Amino acid sequence: MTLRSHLSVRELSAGVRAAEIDPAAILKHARDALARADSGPAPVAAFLAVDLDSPGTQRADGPLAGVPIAVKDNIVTTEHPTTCGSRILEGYRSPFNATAVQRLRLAGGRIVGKTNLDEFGMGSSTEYSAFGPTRNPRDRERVPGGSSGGSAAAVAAGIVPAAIGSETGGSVRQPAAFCGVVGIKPTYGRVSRYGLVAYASSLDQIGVFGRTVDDAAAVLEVIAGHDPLDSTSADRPVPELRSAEKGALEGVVIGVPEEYFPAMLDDGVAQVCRAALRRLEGLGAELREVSLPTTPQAIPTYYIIAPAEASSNLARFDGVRYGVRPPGAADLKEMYERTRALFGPEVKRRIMLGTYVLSAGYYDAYYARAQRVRRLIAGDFENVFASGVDAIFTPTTPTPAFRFGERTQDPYEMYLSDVFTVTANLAGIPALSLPVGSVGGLPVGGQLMAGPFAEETLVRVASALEGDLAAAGLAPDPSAASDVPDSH
Amino acid sequence: MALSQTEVDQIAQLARLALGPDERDAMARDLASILDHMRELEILDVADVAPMRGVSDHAAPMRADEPGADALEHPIDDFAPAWEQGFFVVPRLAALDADASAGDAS
Amino acid sequence: MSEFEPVIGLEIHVQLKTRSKLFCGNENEFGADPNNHVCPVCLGLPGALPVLNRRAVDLGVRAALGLHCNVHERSIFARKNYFYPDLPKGYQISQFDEPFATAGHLDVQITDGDAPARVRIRRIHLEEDAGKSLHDRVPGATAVDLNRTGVPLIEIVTEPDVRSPAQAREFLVRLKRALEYMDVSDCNMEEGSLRVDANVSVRRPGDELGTKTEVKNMNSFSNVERALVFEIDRQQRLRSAGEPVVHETLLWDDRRGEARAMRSKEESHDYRYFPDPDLPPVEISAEWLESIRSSVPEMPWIRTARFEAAYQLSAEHAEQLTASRAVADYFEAAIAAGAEPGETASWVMGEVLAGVKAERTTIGEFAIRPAELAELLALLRSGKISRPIARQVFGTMLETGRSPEDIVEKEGLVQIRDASALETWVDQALEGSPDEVQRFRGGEKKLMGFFVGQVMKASRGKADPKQVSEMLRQRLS
Repeated sequence: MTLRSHLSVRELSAGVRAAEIDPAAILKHARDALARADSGPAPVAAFLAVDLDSPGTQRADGPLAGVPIAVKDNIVTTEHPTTCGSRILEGYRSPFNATAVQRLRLAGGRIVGKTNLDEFGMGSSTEYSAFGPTRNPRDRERVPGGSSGGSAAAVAAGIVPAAIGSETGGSVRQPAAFCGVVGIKPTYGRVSRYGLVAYASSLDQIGVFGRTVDDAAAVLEVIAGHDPLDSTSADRPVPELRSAEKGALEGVVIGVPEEYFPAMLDDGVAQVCRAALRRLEGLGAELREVSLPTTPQAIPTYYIIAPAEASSNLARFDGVRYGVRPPGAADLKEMYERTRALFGPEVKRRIMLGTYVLSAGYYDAYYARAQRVRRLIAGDFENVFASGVDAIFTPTTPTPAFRFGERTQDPYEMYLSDVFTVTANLAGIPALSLPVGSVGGLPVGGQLMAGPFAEETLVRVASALEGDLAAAGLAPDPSAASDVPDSH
Repeated sequence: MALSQTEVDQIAQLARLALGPDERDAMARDLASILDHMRELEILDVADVAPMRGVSDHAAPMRADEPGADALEHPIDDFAPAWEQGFFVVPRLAALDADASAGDAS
Repeated sequence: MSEFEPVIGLEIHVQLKTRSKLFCGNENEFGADPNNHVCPVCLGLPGALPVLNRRAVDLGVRAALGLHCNVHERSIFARKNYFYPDLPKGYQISQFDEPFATAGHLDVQITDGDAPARVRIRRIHLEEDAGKSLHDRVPGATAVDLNRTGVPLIEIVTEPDVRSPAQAREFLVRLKRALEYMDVSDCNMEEGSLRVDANVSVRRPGDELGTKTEVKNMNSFSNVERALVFEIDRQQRLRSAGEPVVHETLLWDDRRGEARAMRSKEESHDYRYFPDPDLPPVEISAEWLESIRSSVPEMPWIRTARFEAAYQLSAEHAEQLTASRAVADYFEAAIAAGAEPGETASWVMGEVLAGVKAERTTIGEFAIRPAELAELLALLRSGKISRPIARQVFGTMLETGRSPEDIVEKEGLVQIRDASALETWVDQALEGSPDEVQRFRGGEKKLMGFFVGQVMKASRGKADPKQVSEMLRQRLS
């Protein structure tokens, strides 16, 4: 039995539940896509571990029955190693599963493997993985974005219809934009962080990738919800995240913040995004200019808070209880240092930065100040949403996917890739990126942000826009990504 | 703003990172340049703004005092780098031998 | 006396008596096989997260209320960052700038010189315990046991109000008693459920505080006292010689009777405290606080005063009886069963505690229950049995578990007052000791005790000694 290409998540699981689709055929389809993606001189290499052969032990009756799902390798699973893209955890097998993974399995989802990432989620290109980079399936000379680059690429390459990743400052939305897929970062607390290896706990959130808004939403519905194992998990009901009916944006107010259309914005990206805004208007939405005046402070705030928390979160990688401990240490200090020498340069940089901003004499100037500015940033969003704006539309990234090595020289240059995405993490609000067009053959992502727990609004607006783009023949070509590229 | 080598060494020591000579120079340079960008925050007057610790708007949830922990699906010796007689084993702290009867860490 | 007075502040870590750990569901149990009570959370595995144990907050707040603290509606868990093999996450979850309780006190009686009789408590905070590093288990290496990791602790920090080693000891004794009364901890120093560190400095009276040292590793109250005597003396000598005191951590070596600087912690401390983003603020509602307040028992100092007043006991006896809540409870249960306070007090402090010790049990599990003691004392009080017989019956009760009534009846131990029966024994006593009768009549009156003893012996303790001496007096006059 051959599988019709690009069935949606809900179609696949309905087919499996009705015994109309053989889960083995789904895996076969995934294997073929994987083979195409990893062929040639420049393989996509989305996975650090993958198993598309064994039938798996998941249930056949849930809302994700038979759906293959890729999991970012900083989310713990008992059946595959969890390395976080780091030498320090090479070969580590977690003795417990993340709550999100449990829920995927309970829903019948088939965890097919673990995807590549920037080490511990620290990076915006997947170039900082200790196990080699992942390539952007849309253009293999370019980065897939990061840190969840592997999950975005696995979806873009057609290997899986959906994947989960994690966000601290844009690590789902930015690679989704670069790879031309949909990425959702839910409200902080919406998805349990239990089993997500912490980078910056007050910002981290598990997110989802899908080929379409509905694919991503279908997975989010399953993993969202209260978890008593995560004290920051929100005890709120999870709504059904169904796509809106056509033309359903009457009365919806879309905020357009000028700060997200600055002079440095790539012209092509700006044009594509402005065109998308006109489409939203055409769908009945009201566009309203809004201001988020603390936007320029978002990157410095983020790069104080995130490294500070990271310096503490990564202290547990000490070689005592798990992970790799290089042999030959004469004493305890040497054991710590030899073990922690396995961290890559960007991780070391952030641990150093975080240790510095928390250290005696600097705490108030950096960390305490950043926490105060963070409140102002969150306050900007509160004001906008309180004024009757339902969602904010911006570009997801200032540029389309960049080339390998382009941003690794100056760390701050790399940090600026997150300029439009870190705000949602700082404010804790939900945000979504969807493909809204392309520039020079590279996908451009449009970002929607909404108030806390308004994922429903995001899905509704995004799916309306997605449908409109598709009707105009502007949807990203799903087959383009999985083709073997011409030789470079 | 420049970071002295001594400062870099102190921070590295606190973080238990041993930096090689090249790494040390690069780190001092990178940190200085990143910290320069942080000055952007100084233009805002935040004296009256309460720090934002996190996003959650609820208090810490509390569990009942009942034994029952998440089970380990693999035994400890499956992931422990050094495991003997039911203990994790690490090299001795060099200075310990000077403390004939060292107490607990806390 | 040195011209430099000591100034002492104490930091006491107390393990709370919960069933499970502070942030995970592992058992809080001393003495299990190593690394047996561990899970993803207390192993600090990647991805694991803490969830607070409500009971630990409950017990901590109870302790704080008993020690007259202000309990705050909102407190914050912070991370204290440092590397040590028995600290799995590389940080300890503790409380820093917003602890759950502040500004309490505990009164002591020893007041050396102008020292205050009130030791102020600066703060009490909740935190998780570290594991154990064993340096003598595996040759040349350190063995790490994480069973203790995450056991709930409160840390009680006093103001530097203590002025002598003896006062420090008294404070600790009273604190331990208070904590035991509140049933928040086992307070067992040998098992480490109560641990004391001391901050010590010396100064000329009236001067600013001098440089302090921190003394650790004292595992009994007498060790604390000895270590403080040693360290105060050392600092006083240094200062008298015009030398400075160096701020450092010292480890008490009980065998050698000295405190030595701790090398292993000499590296710079910078704990980089910051609020733990994994744990939202702890909120203690007014309602919850009130329900905890109602669980605070009558505190020992109040009970001592009440015992003195209500039962007309001497201050010393009241103090002894209330030193342990279980003993005081036992005493009051006997009173409630009708026993007379003075008699009961001497029996509890005498026979009962001796019996508890001999049986190697606790007073709570002692075989003779308060009501049975009251029954026995009622027999004594009514004159049905004599005091020596009462002691004998007590021994039989302990051995056999039978009731005093039953023992007295079945073994015919009822005190004999029947004149004709007593007459016979009196006759025998006088006839058998003609020399003593002679001497008594010659003025050696203290021989009366000898004759009474002879009669008691003949009656196997059952004769009423009062009546016997009356009869003897008549016969010998």
